[in-house]
Amino acid sequence: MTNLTLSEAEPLPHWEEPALPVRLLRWLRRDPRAAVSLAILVIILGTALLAPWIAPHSPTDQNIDLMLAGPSADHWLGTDDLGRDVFSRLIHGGANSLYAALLAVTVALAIGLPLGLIAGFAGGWVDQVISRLIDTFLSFPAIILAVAVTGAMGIGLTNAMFSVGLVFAPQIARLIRARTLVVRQELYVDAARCFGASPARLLIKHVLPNAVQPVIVQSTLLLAVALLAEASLSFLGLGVQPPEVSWGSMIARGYLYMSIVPEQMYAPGLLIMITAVAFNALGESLRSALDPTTQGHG
Amino acid sequence: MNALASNPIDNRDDAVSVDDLVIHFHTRAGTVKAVDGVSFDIRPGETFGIIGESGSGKTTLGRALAGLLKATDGHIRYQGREPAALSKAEQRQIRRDYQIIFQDPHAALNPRMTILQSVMEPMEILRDGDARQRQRVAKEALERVGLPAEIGRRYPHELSGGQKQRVNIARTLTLKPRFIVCDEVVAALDVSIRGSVLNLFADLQKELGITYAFITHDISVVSHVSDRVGVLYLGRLMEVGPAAAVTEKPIHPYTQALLSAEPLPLPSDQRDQRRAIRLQGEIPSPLAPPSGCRFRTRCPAAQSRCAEQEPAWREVAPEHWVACHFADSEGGPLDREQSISFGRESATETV
Repeated sequence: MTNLTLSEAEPLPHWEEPALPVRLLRWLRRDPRAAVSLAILVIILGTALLAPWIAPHSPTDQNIDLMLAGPSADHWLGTDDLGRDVFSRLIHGGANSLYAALLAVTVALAIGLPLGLIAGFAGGWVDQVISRLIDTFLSFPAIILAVAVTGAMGIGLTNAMFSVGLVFAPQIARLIRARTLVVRQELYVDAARCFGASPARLLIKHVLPNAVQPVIVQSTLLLAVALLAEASLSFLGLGVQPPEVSWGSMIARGYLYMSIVPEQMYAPGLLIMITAVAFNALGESLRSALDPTTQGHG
Repeated sequence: MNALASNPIDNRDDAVSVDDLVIHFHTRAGTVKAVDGVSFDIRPGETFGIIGESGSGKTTLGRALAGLLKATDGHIRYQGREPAALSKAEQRQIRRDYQIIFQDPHAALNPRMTILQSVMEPMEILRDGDARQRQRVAKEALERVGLPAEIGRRYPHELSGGQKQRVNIARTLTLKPRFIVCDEVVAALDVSIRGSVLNLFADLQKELGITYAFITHDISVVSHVSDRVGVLYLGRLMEVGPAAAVTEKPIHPYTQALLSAEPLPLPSDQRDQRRAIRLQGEIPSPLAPPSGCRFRTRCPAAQSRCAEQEPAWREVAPEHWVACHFADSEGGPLDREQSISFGRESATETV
């Protein structure tokens, strides 16, 4: 196979990359911010998924005798205008909110990332066509699009968040296109081309890993924006449909009784904020973990 | 453009033969004539030096030789074969056989890949062996260029410039190429380690019979490593010949000027007076190269004929080709009249 051999010495043992869980553990031990934010997200996601078993009350059981009550031993955060337990609704609502945010950002990435990469890498008329398409979408107001999509495909959280994802996609596409324009000029891309690398390999192995960092950070910001977008769409009645619950719909409802039971609006708001900050911190940690120049590896 | 076509180009034994190569770039400012009618050939196992100042088109030429740029016109043949006329499999073989090593060793390595990943990449692309074999060959290649295989675990930013250039060499060696374009490979390195990297190139050539095209602006480097040398100016060859002849007894005024610009470790009164030719001004824009002889605007010996007529590409001595109206086997226009040394000074100033 080779005629390069010079050394008489024993060949070095074959190096194996450590398995993914091992690398993940090492990373979390090295980066406390990543560990804390990941722990917060796991707890939030865990309680959301286990809500039926954890929540002290049903999120939909109404108690007409006890409306807009303050915190008590039985109802930790009181009850809403229909006498439902706010704490239980908070636990149940997390699932819908996280689902909504992740759906919107996934749609945005699935559409924006390939479009931006291809536009930046191919250049020429391909870039022109895609860029004009992006501009068109950017000029489209999110709410109007959501109304149009839900009007055409039916009202519901999935359809509403899908259209939020459509609105986010051009942002992702623009960001990755701009980075791709820079990275495709790099010498290591030419070097790989000289070894006969296919355009697909150049994109996946060289351009994407070196262009994607701002997109990671932007995605975590968009997760926070999506949580809020879910709130506004549910407020308008385009998102979560009663009796389903989400943090956004709880804020929308709590807002009406802010002067009586302010904690019913602030509690879901606080959770949205904590989740958004945790996503953000995790994104920032992820970005630096993926950049070998900012990490001590080993 | 066709004046150069008289060069022997159909020699199938040549490692690379370049036939009237033209590479133009279309920009908003106009057409950049980076390489504008260049013909030469490189023989198996030799080192062909290409010298020129910034803007002469030498890097464009190097990229074209490595197949990274398409010719606007003309041909590059590898062992007499043109890639466009070959099957996919043969094109892959040519990709493997004809490689380039770049000036900036850092930029040529993906910052997100470990050294080992970078060195294994060509073999992955060309599907050589399995993962285990690739890793072994990569480690051997690293050791062959004088690096410990352990360095494979590191990332490019943790290495010095010289180490990175050795990594680039190791990576290219894993393909066992026949021909490597060395594009200013030591220009970015500290002077103290240039020698050892150049020696590595020489050793590899001796051992593996690799042919080099050595592109540089550094005349002291080119005269040491090359068998033959071509002098490029504004996208055209001015002179081609054996390295000793071109660097010891250059004929073309441009080559003479380039050589006289090389700093010599001698007191001024001991330097060869004849070599003191100073070029005025900058290299003209490749957007609009001068008519006739491209060098005439800066040539101390330029005459009206130089503006009207492009000099023919002539073999003035065995293997020694020059593009100058006034060159012959006795030498160039600046050798002939020792007495015009005063006039020459004024000629340069009036240009």
